[in-house]
Amino acid sequence: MKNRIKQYRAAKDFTQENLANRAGCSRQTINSMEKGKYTPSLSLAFLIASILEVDINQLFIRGTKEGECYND
Amino acid sequence: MSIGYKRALGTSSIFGVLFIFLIMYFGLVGPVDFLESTFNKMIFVVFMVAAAISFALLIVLTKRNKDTLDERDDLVEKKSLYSGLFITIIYVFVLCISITFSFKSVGVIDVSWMYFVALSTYAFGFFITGILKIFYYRKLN
Repeated sequence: MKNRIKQYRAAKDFTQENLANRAGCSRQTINSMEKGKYTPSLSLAFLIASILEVDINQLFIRGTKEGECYND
Repeated sequence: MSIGYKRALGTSSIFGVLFIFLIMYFGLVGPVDFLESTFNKMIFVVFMVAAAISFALLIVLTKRNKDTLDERDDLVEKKSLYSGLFITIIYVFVLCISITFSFKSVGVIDVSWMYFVALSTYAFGFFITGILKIFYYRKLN
């Protein structure tokens, strides 16, 4: 699953460390998510969306293969 | 470097050294003389206790770190424990089958081999789980 965490985090002027501290996870986890290597749980996804003050559907993009649903 | 990754590095190092020591020492002394000598058993106990203390210290020292364990660490833990269990079962199976076939013609095996299987499984289990954690952390980074 792709996401726009990096983009919205930069817009809020948060560092990975700031966002991790607010979300109660490690900086490495935020980094993994931004690289698209780790898909967070639903609760963490909602938490990050609320911290970044963005709709979860805008933050996470479902589907990366042809034929799957995209939010773009 | 996350707290989980540091612990995985420490665990694999401690138990990797212990595992190699067990194999080398057992190979050097030999199964016949191994349980006869109190000195040999004492050396083993000292190493096992040293590994256990090092592991406890590793947990305590990394706990001071302000980093927290989160759901990604749980995922790595779950995957590595599952794979580690599978590999450890294979290790015990192969070791026991090898010993059985080696002593098949003799008809009996020295009881110290059982001692070796028990101790080496303990060290190997922790070692391989640590290695797998490192692998999964690297895969997710």
